[in-house]
Amino acid sequence: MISATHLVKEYDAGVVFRAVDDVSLDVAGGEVVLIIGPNGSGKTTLLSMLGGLVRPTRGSVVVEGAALDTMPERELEAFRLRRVGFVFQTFRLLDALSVRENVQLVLDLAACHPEPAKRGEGPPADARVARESGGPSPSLRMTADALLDRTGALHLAKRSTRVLSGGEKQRVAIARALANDPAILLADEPTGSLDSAAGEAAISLLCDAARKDGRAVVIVSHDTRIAHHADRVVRMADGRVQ
Amino acid sequence: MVPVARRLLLRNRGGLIVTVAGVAATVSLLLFLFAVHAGVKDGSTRYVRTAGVDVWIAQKGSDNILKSSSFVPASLAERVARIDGVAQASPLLRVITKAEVRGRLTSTLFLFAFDPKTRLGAPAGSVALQPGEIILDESFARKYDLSLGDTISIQRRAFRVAGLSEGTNALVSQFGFVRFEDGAAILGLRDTASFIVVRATDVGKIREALPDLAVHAQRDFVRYHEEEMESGVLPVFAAAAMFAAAVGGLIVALMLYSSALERRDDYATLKALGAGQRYLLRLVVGQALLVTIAGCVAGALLTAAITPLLLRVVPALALRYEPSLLLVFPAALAIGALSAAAPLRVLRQIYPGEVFRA
Repeated sequence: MISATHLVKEYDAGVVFRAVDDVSLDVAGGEVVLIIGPNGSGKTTLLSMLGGLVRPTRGSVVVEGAALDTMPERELEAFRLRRVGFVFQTFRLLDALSVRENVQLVLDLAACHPEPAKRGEGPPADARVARESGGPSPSLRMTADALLDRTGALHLAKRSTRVLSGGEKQRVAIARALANDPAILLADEPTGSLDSAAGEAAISLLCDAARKDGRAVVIVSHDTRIAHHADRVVRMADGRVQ
Repeated sequence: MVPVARRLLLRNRGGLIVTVAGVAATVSLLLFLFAVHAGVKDGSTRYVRTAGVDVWIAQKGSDNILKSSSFVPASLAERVARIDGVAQASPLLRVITKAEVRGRLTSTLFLFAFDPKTRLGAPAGSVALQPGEIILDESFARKYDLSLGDTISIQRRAFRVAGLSEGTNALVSQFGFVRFEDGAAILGLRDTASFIVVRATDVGKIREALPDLAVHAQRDFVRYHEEEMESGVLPVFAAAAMFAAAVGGLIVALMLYSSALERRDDYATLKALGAGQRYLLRLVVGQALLVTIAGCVAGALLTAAITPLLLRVVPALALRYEPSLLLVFPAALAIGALSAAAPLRVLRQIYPGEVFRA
């Protein structure tokens, strides 16, 4: 599902700095891969390249047959919107929106984007109804609620994200990541801001998304306690896989 | 659709209130400027339009009752009356003076002295004047707290206020009307008029008979007044209106720009999730339009609320709210939408990978 080959990422700030140095990585559907390593080891840069947020200096990233390194920007946006789910350490929920709206927003974005869906039929079809009717279709709202229900956050749907605990925020963030039925889930330090119980719950949800839905899940973390959840652990240091 | 633009605005209520207030003040100022412009335009032409005159005869080179001097013999009216096609002709004298009210001099009064027999040059709908009586512009009367029956003094002559006229306010100066003989006595000249005002069907014959004088058909004379007013006043109003509109646009632009900086994380998240530049543009344009619409509504309400107060404080204000003033609102929306360009560079520079910064 994900095939990264000889990835190199260099930053030029007067002096060239190589953040990722010749990394190759394959992740199959339904597989959970944990990337661990110290700060500055290049794991987040690698995750950014796998998600189409950063273009590699050299090498290629192919996800479900689509080469991200050569993809035009507009297509890359559509790719991120429909085929990648992101989970962040600091959640990155929009605090101006309610819990439900944070999830629904991603469905709305897909409705506004001209690219056709590549995977799954449900959410994009509902999204098209929303676009044509000028408002959220009942089923689109149900989709958002179903996602929140799946992550155990439905009871928070109407609440502001500002009042949620870290664990609750991460549940909402995972629900948002699952909107539009993405092929891959990329999580950056998903337990970094959570206590042990909430962290465990978040990792379980991510693993469920891999094993029940067949998604490829890549988790970047310092937290070696979650290693037993992963099918494979990749260690990085100085931009290289050890 | 999730109303993201509205939610982002409401998240910063303080900034929203200040911006809406700024736009409201701008819209109110624009409405006020255009209302004054329309009022002055009307005030400086309505008398000419409604004085019941078909032809205005003046000294050569004179084409305005306020802004050009003209002296013609008053007795010329008798000669004009004999021209074929002329129904009536009479002298009209303009005196630029000040009145004395309760021992204090007033602002300048354009005093028009008309022939009470023909009433050519009398303000529309006015009463018949007796000697020693005056008709005053109603805003002038309000300004000096004068009512019907009160007495004012002009050049040491007492005049009783017998009537009030409307549409005879040229912003800084207002009109008054007296009988011709009273006006001549104030000026102290015999057989002198400013204009000969005529009721006639054929202006051509009058021109032929009076080649050394300026003979203006009513329609042309009104146009000259409009052009004079527009050339003198419009640039000032246009400059003030453009300045106000620019200030309003800058207020909205500043709010959007600072909001883009403050909410950089949110925009980075949206980009990471797959929102394109077009979506972000729609988002800021949406915010700009919402703020502008709220400002327009508040500005209209503010204008409705302060207009009576303004007229009380400055009675000589000639405000005229015409349907064309509604154009202020689409213009404000267009300026608001344009101001959305301010944060575009910031939005373009936001790098979606920022989302991974803790």
